[in-house]
Amino acid sequence: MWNFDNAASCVDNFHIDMQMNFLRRPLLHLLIIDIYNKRSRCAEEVRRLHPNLRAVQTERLIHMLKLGASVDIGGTIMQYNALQIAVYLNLDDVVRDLLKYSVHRPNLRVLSNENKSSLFELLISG
Amino acid sequence: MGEPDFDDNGPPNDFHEDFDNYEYGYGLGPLHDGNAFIRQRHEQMRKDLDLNHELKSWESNVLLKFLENLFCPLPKDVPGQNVFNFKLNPRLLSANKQEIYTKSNYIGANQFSRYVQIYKHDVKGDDDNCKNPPVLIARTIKQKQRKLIMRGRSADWHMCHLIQVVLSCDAENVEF
Repeated sequence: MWNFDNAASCVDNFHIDMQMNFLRRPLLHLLIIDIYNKRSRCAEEVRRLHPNLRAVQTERLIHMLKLGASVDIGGTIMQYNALQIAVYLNLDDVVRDLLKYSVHRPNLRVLSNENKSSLFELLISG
Repeated sequence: MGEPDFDDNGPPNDFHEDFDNYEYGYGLGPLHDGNAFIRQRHEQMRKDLDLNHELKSWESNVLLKFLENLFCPLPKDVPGQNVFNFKLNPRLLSANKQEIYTKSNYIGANQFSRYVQIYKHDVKGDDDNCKNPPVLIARTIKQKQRKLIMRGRSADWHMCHLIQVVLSCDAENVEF
């Protein structure tokens, strides 16, 4: 059975925080975005077919964090990091897991950095 | 999405730069030829059929439209299915290339469409104006994956496979 570690071992010079050249962001961002997409209304069928989906995704998230994935690394274009994306998408449980299981201490100041004005405005606008 | 609306100023200066740059909302670059793959396949079929290679362009177009109808309809999309577990249609088979065709057909890779998002009052140098919402990113990822799968290089396959493991819904992967 293919799994994450086996699949990762096949990728040249793999690192858990590597910026995948065509996505221009690490795998952790990809997973968070996927979690968001599969909780939407249009993913009802997916959730019906895979009743354990939420637990599976949470396990994956925790696994990647325990492997050392950093929540402070942004994409190479937009510098939003994993924590900011999770807040942006209002994924409270994901934010909780990011804070709880992150190997490195997350930099919470990014959530109120005035340079990220559009994100900040979005957050305070409710 | 409609056609780009560039107001009176025409397209931005960097419109043709960096095809893979999706920060402007393009799933594929503006100059990306999404039909190149199909045309290449048609070309091969034309040669296989030993037709006259010096057909006029309009004749060639008519022929291509005719050949278009020879392709079987795409299989029904199943949400969340891992394409790497997709069972091949035994009628199609044998060559690795055919496998790539099948998978790319399955995920709709042959029907590229440019995803356009327009922001009015865009100010150059203002990064915050360069919106890149996660939903759009997800779509871009899917299109990039299609491109990589069609390229058929082993390194790209491994990368796509890793991404697919992360994105898959399979309960088995809970153990990873």
